[in-house]
Amino acid sequence: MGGLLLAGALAVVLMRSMVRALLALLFTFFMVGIVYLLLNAEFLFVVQLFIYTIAVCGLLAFAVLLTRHVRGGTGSPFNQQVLAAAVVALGLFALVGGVAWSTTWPTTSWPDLARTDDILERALLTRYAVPVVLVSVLLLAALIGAIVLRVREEPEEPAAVIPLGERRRRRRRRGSPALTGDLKK
Amino acid sequence: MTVGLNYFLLLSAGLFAIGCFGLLAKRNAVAMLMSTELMLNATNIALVAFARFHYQPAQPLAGQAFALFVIAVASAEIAVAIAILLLLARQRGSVQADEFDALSG
Repeated sequence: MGGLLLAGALAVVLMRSMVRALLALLFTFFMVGIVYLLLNAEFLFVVQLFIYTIAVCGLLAFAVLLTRHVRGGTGSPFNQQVLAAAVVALGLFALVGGVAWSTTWPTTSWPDLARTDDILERALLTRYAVPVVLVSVLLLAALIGAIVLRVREEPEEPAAVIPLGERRRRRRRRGSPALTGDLKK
Repeated sequence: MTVGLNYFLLLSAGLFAIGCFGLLAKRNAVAMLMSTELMLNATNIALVAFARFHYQPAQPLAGQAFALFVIAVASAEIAVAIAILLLLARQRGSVQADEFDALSG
């Protein structure tokens, strides 16, 4: 199980094609959900399934497909610091993994709960009530921020009243490629 | 053989290291986002493993509650990050992170 998970994660990082990396990411998220199931976190498994494998992967699919044809898609997927990055990652793994492996962690016995979601939602509604509200405000702010980022780039004036040459000049100033449909006119 | 806490923590460390490598080494900004998600998932595995193997009756399943918050913040982050990325891709015509050098001196 763990090997499958790590193989999926490695595929995400090493795949040259972004679409394949996305599929590997989907697989990895699902495997993480299975690990949650092994750890008696059924509610988190469902959350992982809905939020990560559906919502986040859907969003990333939009990002991958919309940015597929822009410049720079070919060539090496790695930058110049790939060796340093590999050294840092291996060192990090040796350090953290070594400590995690060699330490004798204090553990308590699992009470063999029938339903963990009961306990979890009671904790969320009592002890963690304020953080839940804060997170919902954060999500709302992120949603509004994402919408504002997309809306801001719309032109203020209606496009029809701007002369064609002016429109082209503006577009050149903004730096985005001109649409071929406009050039044919 | 019983699978203890150490195995899950090792798994979490491995996933985190892979995500860290991807974040540092990839050129494509979307791939860097994916690597960030891998790292967040690694921390979630560690949190849930601690909640399972270090059950406290006084604060039951605190690790799982934390993991939920991490998931919520991660989804907020990815929504904003993808909006920024698509905007950058349209304005600069590229998603390669090493070409976003408007702030370099």
